[in-house]
Amino acid sequence: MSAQLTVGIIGAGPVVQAIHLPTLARLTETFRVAKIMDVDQAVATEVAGRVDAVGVTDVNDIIGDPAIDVVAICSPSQFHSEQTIAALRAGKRAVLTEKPLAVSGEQAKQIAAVADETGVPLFVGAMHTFDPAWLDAQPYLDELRRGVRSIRSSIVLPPNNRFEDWATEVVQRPEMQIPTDFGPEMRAAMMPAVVLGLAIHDLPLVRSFLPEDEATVTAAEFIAPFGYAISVRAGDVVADVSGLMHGHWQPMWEFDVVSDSAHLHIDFTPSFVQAGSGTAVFTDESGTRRFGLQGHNGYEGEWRALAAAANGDLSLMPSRASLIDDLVLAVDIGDAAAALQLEGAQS
Amino acid sequence: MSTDQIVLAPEPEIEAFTRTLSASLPRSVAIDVDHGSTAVIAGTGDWVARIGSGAAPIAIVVDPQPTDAQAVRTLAADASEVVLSETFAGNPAVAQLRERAADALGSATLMTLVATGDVSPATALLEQLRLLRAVGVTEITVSDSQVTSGSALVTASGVGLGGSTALLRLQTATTTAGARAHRLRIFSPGAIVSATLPSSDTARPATVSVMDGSGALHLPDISEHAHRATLRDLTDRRARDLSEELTQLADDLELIASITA
Repeated sequence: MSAQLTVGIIGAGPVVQAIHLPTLARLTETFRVAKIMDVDQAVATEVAGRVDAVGVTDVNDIIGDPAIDVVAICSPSQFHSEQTIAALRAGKRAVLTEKPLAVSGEQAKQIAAVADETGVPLFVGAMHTFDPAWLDAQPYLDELRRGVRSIRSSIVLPPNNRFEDWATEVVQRPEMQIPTDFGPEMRAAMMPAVVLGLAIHDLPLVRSFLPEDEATVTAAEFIAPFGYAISVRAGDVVADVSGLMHGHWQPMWEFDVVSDSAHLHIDFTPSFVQAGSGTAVFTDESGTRRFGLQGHNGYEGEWRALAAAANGDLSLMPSRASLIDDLVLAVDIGDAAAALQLEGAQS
Repeated sequence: MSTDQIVLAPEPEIEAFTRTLSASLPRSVAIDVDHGSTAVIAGTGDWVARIGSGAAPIAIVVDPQPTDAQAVRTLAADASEVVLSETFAGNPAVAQLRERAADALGSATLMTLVATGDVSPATALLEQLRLLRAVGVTEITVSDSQVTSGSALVTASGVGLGGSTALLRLQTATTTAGARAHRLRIFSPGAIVSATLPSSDTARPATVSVMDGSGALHLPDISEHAHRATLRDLTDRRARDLSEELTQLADDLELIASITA
């Protein structure tokens, strides 16, 4: 067995506290968290202390530390590009950047160029692309792609803290800033945020079924306080990209693809809690097959894939091109949805 | 033969199905293809013309599919006694949903409908519109529609039972995978209602649940499809304003025509 990989995590917010640290606690034979960085020393120290790591406030204490094998970038999105490039250039064994990889397509291309140049394995935290339900169904998906007609990504969730509080004891939870005015300009401003904050979870799955025709956003509705209903058309394929953070307790995190002769439906488990994998149901003329229902979710899947890549097995590492294309699609959808809010107001 | 029996005169293409209905209502329903007083018309092709050419004073139209809206409007004006029997909108579970989830229907902010099955997008969209009507949605206004040969995605708004405006999302996909089904979700501040409605080739019950802060309530299963319910309630159905129902169908057909144009 390979030696433990030493991990440095940039960011100590709820996602790190409630997702990555509990996930890494299930993988202690593979990973050891050595440092956690936060701009607030007290937060960094407390969160790091939970895993016997060192809390630091300077990014370079992690990126520049040769003892750190793997850097996980879980900072606010606007810092992802610069920090990812720095981690790649530092010659780490692997880098995991939380989604979104960057906030513009140009940034994503710069990151990919550096990843090519350095050869460092790069992963984006698109956890459902590593969920056993998704991976196990892969052998059947080419059949689906040949005649795809309709895609549906629907993410209906309770507030995050419902699950965070079952996963850990969060320190310094950022307050949700809920606007009170949902006029056109506010809706336009919120659209990229909801796309890059929520829709992005499954946009890589959506993109994998879209034909190469240019995808067009034909409708976009902002659903207060935090939701969206976006229509995407690419050739003869329609895609419903919808999400809603509601006040109820029941999560409904679903993904559907329907072709002329096959149907894939996936129910994903909520983030934060270790609720195992999603469940995929694939139906065609030969019958129905069920996949997933495994004991680990996509977050654990992505860390496992990263460990494999750090040790030379790149079979589950996404291509650089796909990372760029995933981000460009998300940015384009967010921008187009924002523009539709303003156009609607003008008309 | 009881004097209260309904004597059906089905069209040839729907006779076998009608016999399965009468078999489940052996005391109430009989079949006399040549002399029955209630015609059973398949809602395919030019079904309006076929009603007009029949001799029976009453007609039941099973699953009316998209046709010329003006012809339906004329039929409504003729005071013809035409009863619509619709697999999805007429599923008894929908009436139950309307009664048991009235609060959610009255304050809905979002309704999503997904249809899969081996039917055209136009037919599936019409079924979805009829389903929305059945749960009390009016004043449906379409803001975007994407319709291909095998799928559709429509964004609209509508006014729910309580007078509040809800965002409506209708998605259809034509596929041979699996049985036909419609799924309806209604989101309101107090509850989420989910209904899955199967086709009428069996008595498989719809599943309807109402989820609120206290938990999730699975409404009682009703193992009866829409068309049996239509026959069982035919007397009551005939007492309703059938002309108004046909007029509403004509409105929906016009909307479908504009969406799919």
